[in-house]
Amino acid sequence: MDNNGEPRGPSRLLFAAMLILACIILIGMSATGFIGPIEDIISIPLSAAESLLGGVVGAVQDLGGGVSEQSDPQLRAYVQELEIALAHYQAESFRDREIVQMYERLTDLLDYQTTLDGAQFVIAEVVDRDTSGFVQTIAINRGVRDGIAEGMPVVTEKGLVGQVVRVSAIASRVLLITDRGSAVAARLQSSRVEGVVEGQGIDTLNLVWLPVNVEIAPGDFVLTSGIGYNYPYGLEIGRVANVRLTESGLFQEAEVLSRVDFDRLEQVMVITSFQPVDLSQLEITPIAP
Amino acid sequence: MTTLYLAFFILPALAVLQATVIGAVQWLGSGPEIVYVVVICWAMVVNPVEGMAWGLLGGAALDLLSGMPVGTTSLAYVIAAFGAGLLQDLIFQSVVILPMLVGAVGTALSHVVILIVLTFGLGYDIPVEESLATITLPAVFYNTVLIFFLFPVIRRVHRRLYADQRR
Repeated sequence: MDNNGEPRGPSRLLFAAMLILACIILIGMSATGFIGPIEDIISIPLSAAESLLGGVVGAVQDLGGGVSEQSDPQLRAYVQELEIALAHYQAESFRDREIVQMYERLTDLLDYQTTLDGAQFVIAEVVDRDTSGFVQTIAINRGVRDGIAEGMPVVTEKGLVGQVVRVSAIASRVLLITDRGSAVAARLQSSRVEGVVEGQGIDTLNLVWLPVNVEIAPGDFVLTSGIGYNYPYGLEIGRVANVRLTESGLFQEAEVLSRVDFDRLEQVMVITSFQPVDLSQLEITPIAP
Repeated sequence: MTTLYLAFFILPALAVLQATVIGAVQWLGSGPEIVYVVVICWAMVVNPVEGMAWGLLGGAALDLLSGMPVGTTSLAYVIAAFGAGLLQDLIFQSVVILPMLVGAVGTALSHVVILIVLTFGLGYDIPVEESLATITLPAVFYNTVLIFFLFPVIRRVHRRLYADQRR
């Protein structure tokens, strides 16, 4: 025992081993979705607090700097008066600017909606970005209550953003297409060649598995192909920046630039009318002769 | 374990702070990890056992707010808190240097644990060397600096709590 009356030596080691074992079991259950409902319940107050504080942080970030303080004591009172007035007008101006910007963003989103016939959307605010740096995800303030389900595509008027990977009652987690674990079946608009757009952990994407006998021009639009039924057909992913041969020389791959600024996402749209289908259930197993 | 109840209030609040305020002020691809720093400070000021319990709770709160499977960060923080206890036992205690050393080593250790779980355990495709260079190295610096300031504060808080309990 140490001076706080807590265990040392073997007892401490035993406690650590128990906690490590508990963590490993927890990871296994969480990764397989076994404790998903419990996670959802615990996430509700955390997501609500995160949403609230995230909004405040966003507002403060947009507000910018303040007014420098006067050092002359004779002018201090006057300066303070001006500071209060300035802060008041800054707050008003900031609010007006926010309303204008939000109006413009929502108008863009609504215009985009009209280009996708029949699709239903839910507009959501981005309330968090993954801060670990190891995975590229965002959290949005819409969940099961708003009709969001796992696998639904997330877009902005500038193109595909990602896919919902976890849903709670009031919030959802979206895996961005820039994440290294993301793969989107894609098609080049002009040549109709199909490939897969993979995330690289940075803003640029990589279009792979392109046949070598096809000429691919920089600037060509890359769209979702709908193959595999993980994403609907025809969503813009980006444009080809440059093309190169793979090391093996068997395929071409292209760097794709998205118009979406993944670091500055504020509002996104979840396509609620699309749900991915697990096509592996339809696979035919060969019958032995 | 008398102050463990504090963890249920403080750590989720700090996790929300980490995911919002601190997450918004990242530099060079990374930022300070306040939950980790508090866990390590608690492990050194109070004892590693309580630090490990705090690590489990704080890590779980962070995992719930991020896209990672629950338990990933907990595992990293439990191991880091255990390591903090070991280092504290092995090294002659210096008021300033030891917490900073433990903070730096523990940050690297916790990131390595997270990378091992994500890549080898769960099959994520993460470039290990690049992640260590762009995420872990800045985090080691930020956490070391944060511990320098936060360690005396936590020690004072604990002394006050401990004094209250003895009355």
